[in-house]
Amino acid sequence: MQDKLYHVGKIIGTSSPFASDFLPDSTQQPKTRNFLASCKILIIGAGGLGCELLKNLALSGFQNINVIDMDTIDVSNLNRQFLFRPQDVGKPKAVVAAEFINKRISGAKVVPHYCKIQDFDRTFYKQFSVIVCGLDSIPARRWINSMLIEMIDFDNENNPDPDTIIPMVDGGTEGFKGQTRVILPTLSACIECSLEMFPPQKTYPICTIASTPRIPEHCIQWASIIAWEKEKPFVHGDNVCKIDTDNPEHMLWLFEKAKKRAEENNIPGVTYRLTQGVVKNIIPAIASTNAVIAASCSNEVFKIATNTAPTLNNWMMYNGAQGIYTYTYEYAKKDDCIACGTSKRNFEISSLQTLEQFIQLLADDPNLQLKKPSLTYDGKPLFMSAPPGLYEQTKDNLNKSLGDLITSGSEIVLTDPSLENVAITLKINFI
Amino acid sequence: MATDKTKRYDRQLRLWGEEGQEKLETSKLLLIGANATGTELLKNLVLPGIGSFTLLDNKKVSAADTGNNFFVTTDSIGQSRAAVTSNLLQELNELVSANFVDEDPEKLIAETPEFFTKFTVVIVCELNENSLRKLAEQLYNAQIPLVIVQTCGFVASLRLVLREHTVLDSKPETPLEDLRLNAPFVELSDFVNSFDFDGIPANQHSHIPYLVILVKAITEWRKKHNGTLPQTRPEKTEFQNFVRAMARTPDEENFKEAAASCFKAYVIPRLPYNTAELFEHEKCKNLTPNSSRFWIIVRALKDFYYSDGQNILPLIGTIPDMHSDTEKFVKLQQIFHHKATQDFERVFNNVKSTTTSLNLPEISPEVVKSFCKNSNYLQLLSNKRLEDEYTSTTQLFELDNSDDNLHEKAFYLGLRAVTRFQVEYKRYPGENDPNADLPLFQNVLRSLLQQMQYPVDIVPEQIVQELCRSGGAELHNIASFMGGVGAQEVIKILTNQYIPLNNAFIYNGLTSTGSNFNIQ
Repeated sequence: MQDKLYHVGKIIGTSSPFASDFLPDSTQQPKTRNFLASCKILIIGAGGLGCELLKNLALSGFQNINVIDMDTIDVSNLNRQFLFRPQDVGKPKAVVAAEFINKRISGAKVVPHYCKIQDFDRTFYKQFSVIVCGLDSIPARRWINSMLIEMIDFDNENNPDPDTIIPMVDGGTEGFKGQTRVILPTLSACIECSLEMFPPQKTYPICTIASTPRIPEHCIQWASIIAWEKEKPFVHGDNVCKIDTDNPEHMLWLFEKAKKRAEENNIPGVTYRLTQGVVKNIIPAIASTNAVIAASCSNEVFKIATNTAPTLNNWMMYNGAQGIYTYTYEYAKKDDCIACGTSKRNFEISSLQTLEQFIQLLADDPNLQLKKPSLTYDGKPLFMSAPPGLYEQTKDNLNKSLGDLITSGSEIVLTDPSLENVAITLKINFI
Repeated sequence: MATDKTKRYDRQLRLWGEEGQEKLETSKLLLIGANATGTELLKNLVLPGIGSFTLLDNKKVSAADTGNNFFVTTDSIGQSRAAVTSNLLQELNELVSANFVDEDPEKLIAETPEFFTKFTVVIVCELNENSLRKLAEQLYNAQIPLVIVQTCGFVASLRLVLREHTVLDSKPETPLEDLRLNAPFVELSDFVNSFDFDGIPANQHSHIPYLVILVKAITEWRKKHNGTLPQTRPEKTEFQNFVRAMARTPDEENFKEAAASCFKAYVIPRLPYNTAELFEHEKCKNLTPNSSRFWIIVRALKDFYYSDGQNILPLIGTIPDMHSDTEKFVKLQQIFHHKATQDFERVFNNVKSTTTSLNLPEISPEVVKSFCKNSNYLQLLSNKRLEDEYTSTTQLFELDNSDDNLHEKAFYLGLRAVTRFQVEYKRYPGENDPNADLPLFQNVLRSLLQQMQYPVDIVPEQIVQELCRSGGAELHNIASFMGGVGAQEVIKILTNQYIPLNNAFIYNGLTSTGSNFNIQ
């Protein structure tokens, strides 16, 4: 009977001129084949990229695959998330995806987790040989990135123990564009090293939204930011509802409000589709781009696990809109990266700025984007975003000037929910 | 469109719109080779809702297939691969019509060529070279686009043969701004002149749109400079200072915007190269009763350009958002919209007189309007016959040792040698014994290179060895990657939006690099 792993077998059973240190399998010693069958891989996300990743890894010889996703299936997923059918709408993605793969591909043992990545700690993550992400969220990427860094053990000379380094492959897509990257935490550029590559979402100045709307997007944000706050259209008992972008009643209310405002101002172009797009920050997505990026991610996972060829070092950009454009390069690791850096990040600021102003700068800086930091100085809390008790105790410091609180050259230790697993040290220099 | 479909296809409609979707849904695709690559490619077309597909393959599902092909199952081993994969692909989208033909593609190509000419696009993922060449001739004569994908271990190639493909909207990353700052049309001039820059109150002054500010500024500049525009660096700096000086206070956002955008005032609209090519094309110059809609409208655009347009294409009609109050901005938008409509009407009249004089059916205003809006983004791609590549006695593309993409281009030549080897030896190089096959493969490659007048050592030895040791292995990850790229190209071909590959691409999964190039 022909070997099911015939195609993979050809590659792991022969040597490549591009991988001089790879020892091919023999029938007596199928060490790579055995490793593929026994190692554990984690896929984060069971959506557009996740479905592809599950299929790809299961058809590359991997058997023990875990998948995490906290979402349920929506109709708009069906144009690309091919493990789901119309009758699956509402069910958890991870569960349905795992079932489909285990049924279709013999030997596959996919274990689903319908929960958030934050629900697990290092005892869960350390069991995996490689972690591959098909996420649609920067905060989630930052979180897992900081978790993997925090899991690394260092010796007395600050050298990382290679056995505690888990490679992370990360993919992202938008329309016809996408990117694949390979992260070896503390050895190569991590998510935080390249944070400026992910600019924050587009918002419009509040005065434009409030007083001088000109384009349909202004009218839509008026409805979602100003009108909703003012009119509190939906209540649940005593609680005023926050906008639930998956609730069609909420979306319809926003659409009609936006349309009315647009009509009053002679502004064309408010449609239900645009309203959804702005409020939900919808990114266009198609099967083909997801296939490309997920496949290149899976290819990297395969090469990392088998050593049959060199690994991507470390970023491939892809754009299929005008011709086919790919660009592969090494993104440089930052010495002073707040997550994986060895030297401390310097921060220059005037001593006259208040603590509150400083904290705003932490949020606005494209390299930091820290939205809810808690700061300690000399072991004592300077400002705590949470819990409420500590917030009350420290909030008075917000109005004080930095010069009154610390001296130039001081080190402040920060934590932030986006990087809850690492403590960041900033060296403050007064200018 | 029915709400179910709108919801389901929402994420893709935001890219190619209802118009593009309609073209997908009326397409009939043929795939030859229900292997991993072919089925992955088709998956990415079934999901977004192509009209129908037909799978042509006469193999039986093997155990090896169950290891790399998602659209077969273990209990389907021994059954018709075409039937099994077609069924599991159909299951992805109930709106798509699935068909299969369990016959030998070589036989069909030799004996029933008319089978192939009823498809919109033909995709080949597994076919011997001789039959491929025959098929390519038939398709070229019938003006049917051909998409060819080949994988071998970590490397793969994509080749498109488009006899004549028209792009109706290239959808560039940064769309052109058509603001007419230094050649304002009458209504725009009137609007600008209606502003009393010196007299109006402060809060009005700080809401004058920068577009208006720049028209005024550049008009005044020209008066002071003999009608010329800023050209040298000192002149450009002077102009920017001139604009800045028009502000009353340093806080006025609109004047800051104007200063930052002042270069827009001395940009002169140019006829894009792609559009110029179309205007000079034989099919534009000579309209006949057989002329397509495309050429009739292009000609109408050309006639507009050289007369009413005064050497400028129809006004696009949209303006970017800019600091202003609602009333002024909306008024400005309306002025631009109105002028764009006037230009469109002139083009439309040209179209109407052509269709009338040639006794052809009318073309809808919507279609013409779309052409006017996208007149800067029209393109024509034309490829020669595939046979020209296979019989070529000159180099397909330039290649020397210093080429940035040496390995990718060398892999393309190597993959050509793989299919040539298959014709001669009826197996992949290295399929059974890589060591024994290596010298045979090297010989095949050498003759191929000599035929095309390449130096025989242009393909690095590592490349030759890598292809031979791969033994024709079809890795799922590589098949899936190419399935994505290939499907994306088919979508661009069907919708006439975005720009298709012109005309060859290599993916190197060893280094995760890609390269595209044109084969003449």
